[in-house]
Amino acid sequence: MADEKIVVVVCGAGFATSTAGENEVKKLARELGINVKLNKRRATELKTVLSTMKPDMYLLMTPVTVELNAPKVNGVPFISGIGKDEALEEMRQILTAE
Amino acid sequence: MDKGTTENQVFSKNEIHAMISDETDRDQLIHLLAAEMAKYGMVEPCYGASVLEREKDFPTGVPTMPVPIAIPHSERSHVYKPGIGVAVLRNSVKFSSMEDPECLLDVKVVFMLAASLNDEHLHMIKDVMEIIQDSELVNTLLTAETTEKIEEILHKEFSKREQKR
Repeated sequence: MADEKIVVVVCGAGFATSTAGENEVKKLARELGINVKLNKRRATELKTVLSTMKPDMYLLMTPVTVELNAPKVNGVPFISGIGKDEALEEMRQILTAE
Repeated sequence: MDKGTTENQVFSKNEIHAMISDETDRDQLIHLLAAEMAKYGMVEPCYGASVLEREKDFPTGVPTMPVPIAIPHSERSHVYKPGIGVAVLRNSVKFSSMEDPECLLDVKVVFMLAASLNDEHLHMIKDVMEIIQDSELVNTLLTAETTEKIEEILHKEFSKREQKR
């Protein structure tokens, strides 16, 4: 089986902003031909995530101050449209690493 | 023809209600928009308070071009009909940026979302994200002279996307 990348999309309190981030990850995964398991989590749930998961990448739709156990990408460009290409490139590099 | 609507106006599945406002106070504006949305049966009467509460922890200002936009919303309160309350501001209202709460943005257009976690509503959110990234479209909203025109433009944009699904 091809290995699967685990991505955690972190949003403020619910689902609205993470939806935008999630779509971008799905598109990129299709383009790269890789399997991605998406997990949407609230910022308040991060503690649990950190103690139970070892994702390949975090996509942050809201600022996070705690130290994470995987590379992170700022996802706000997928809402604003500003800096979108750069954010996509960062994700591409992380998801195609090793 | 009345109030600037055209004969061929298309309607999307979403409730869209717009206002053009001189308001400069964020909280007042949120209450105004929420009251408007509650009037059309989209949300509970307490929606404004719920949105403000959420805004404290998770601000919704977005540093878009040509002008900053805000997408206040709340998932802690019931939503009856999916849609948006739109305010185009003659002045501007300060919202904290969702990227950095310390950074205050002079927001010119507010899209207050009424959505819950089901597919239909998620489609709408996706559409809103596309719409706020379209600077040309945002410019047409900024220069629209009537609320009917704003609603017409947005219904057209949403229904264009709905038809492609």
